[in-house]
Amino acid sequence: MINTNNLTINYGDNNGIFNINLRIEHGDIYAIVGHSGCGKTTLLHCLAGILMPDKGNVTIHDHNEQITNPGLIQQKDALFPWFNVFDNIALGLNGSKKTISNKISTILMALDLINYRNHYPAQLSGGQKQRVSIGRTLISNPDVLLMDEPTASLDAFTKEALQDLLLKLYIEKQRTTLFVTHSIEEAVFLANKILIMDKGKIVKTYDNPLEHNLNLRGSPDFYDVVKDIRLMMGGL
Amino acid sequence: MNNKYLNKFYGLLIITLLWYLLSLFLGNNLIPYPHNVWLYLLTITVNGNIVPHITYSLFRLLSAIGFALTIGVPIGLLIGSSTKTDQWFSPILYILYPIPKIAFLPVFMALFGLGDFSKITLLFSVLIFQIILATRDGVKQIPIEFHHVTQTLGLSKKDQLLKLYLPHALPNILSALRISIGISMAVLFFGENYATSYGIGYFIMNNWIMVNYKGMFAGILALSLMAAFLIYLIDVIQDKICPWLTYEKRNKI
Repeated sequence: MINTNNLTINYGDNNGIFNINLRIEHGDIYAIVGHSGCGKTTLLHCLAGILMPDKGNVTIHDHNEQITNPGLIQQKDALFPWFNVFDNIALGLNGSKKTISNKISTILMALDLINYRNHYPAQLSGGQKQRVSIGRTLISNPDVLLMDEPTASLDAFTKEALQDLLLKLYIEKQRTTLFVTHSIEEAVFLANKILIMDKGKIVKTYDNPLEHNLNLRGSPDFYDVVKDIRLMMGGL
Repeated sequence: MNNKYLNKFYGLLIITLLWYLLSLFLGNNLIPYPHNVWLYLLTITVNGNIVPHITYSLFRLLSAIGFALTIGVPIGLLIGSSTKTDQWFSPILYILYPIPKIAFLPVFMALFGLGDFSKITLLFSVLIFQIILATRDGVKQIPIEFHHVTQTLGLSKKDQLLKLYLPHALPNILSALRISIGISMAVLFFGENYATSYGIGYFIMNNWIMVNYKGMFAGILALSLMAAFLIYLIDVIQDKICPWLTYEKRNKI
């Protein structure tokens, strides 16, 4: 569960986030949408512990246990170019070599990257890199997952493939997830609640009436919901 | 033979042609023909006359590089990874870095004696600042996303140092070494003209005094080949320890 209480980061000139009160229940998947500069990434970084709030606080709990390092997937894959796929995923892992190797092999299979374990990031496509980045975050099995525009840097086909993968991973584990996106389609496809932000504040919480479904894209209901949110955002 | 090696020979060919032209214009006595110099260098290498000079010079230079890396890299990592340390140390470095270190040879000789150590110290004083600044800059150029990764994955300070700071600074350090070798050779030449009868600098100067221009040019050629060998060695080491750079370069083509 993610809880924020009057969370504020003030960069001056009305930039930042102001008095954000959030309550995300265990297993929920939330999307944050909004125009550029509305404070989406600032909020996410604050939840990830990268930014310290000027006011208010964040608590992330799972089964009454406080989580200090939620998993974070960034817009840029941020893979270390000097490590191959295996070593990049192993970055935050501790334990015996055999345990680490088994864990990584399992996740590489799930991400369809098993044949790339010795490749360097420069040898991978954009989509493959982002999948490695997802693997690096998920390998430690975080209870809470934060994603900052995880598909923004990808082409349309790779973007959809990655969205499918993210949805499958979510359905499998029901991990509490909050992600930032510029794409309303992505928000509708993945999230069950959509937060609309403007000028550093959450101005609307939209309950996505659609069930999670890999074949959702292209259906009339899907476009109706997308249209609804677009209309809401158009008025901002 | 791939292009990389062909390019090296191409450079040698152009220099040899220019050298021939200079010999023709300025006279064979002042600038001997390249083939005569090459032959002379080959002779003194085979009969062993130049070998101790090259060995001493290499020993001095490699020792200085070793010391500069051992001391400079950790200092650079420390300064680069902490804004406060950077604020304290960088202004001192900026003042010390441009000082002509050659001027301090008498001081080094008085402090460390007339032997090899004072010459190694002189070379060290030239190399250390470039190593520190290159390492510092390598760390400071780490993209913010990489810091977010280490932060959210909860990497220890030691892991951050070994898995992020050092590998990111490594190409900068190797570049600084490449640049430093040229400067170090000039300093080595100067340093080896005092209180020693071994070293390629001594060899060049001694042949000059004895008006043996063929010997002098053979010494200059040996010095140049030594530098080229060391720079090439750094390229080989870089290919071994930074294999990812090869793939990144290919992507940029």
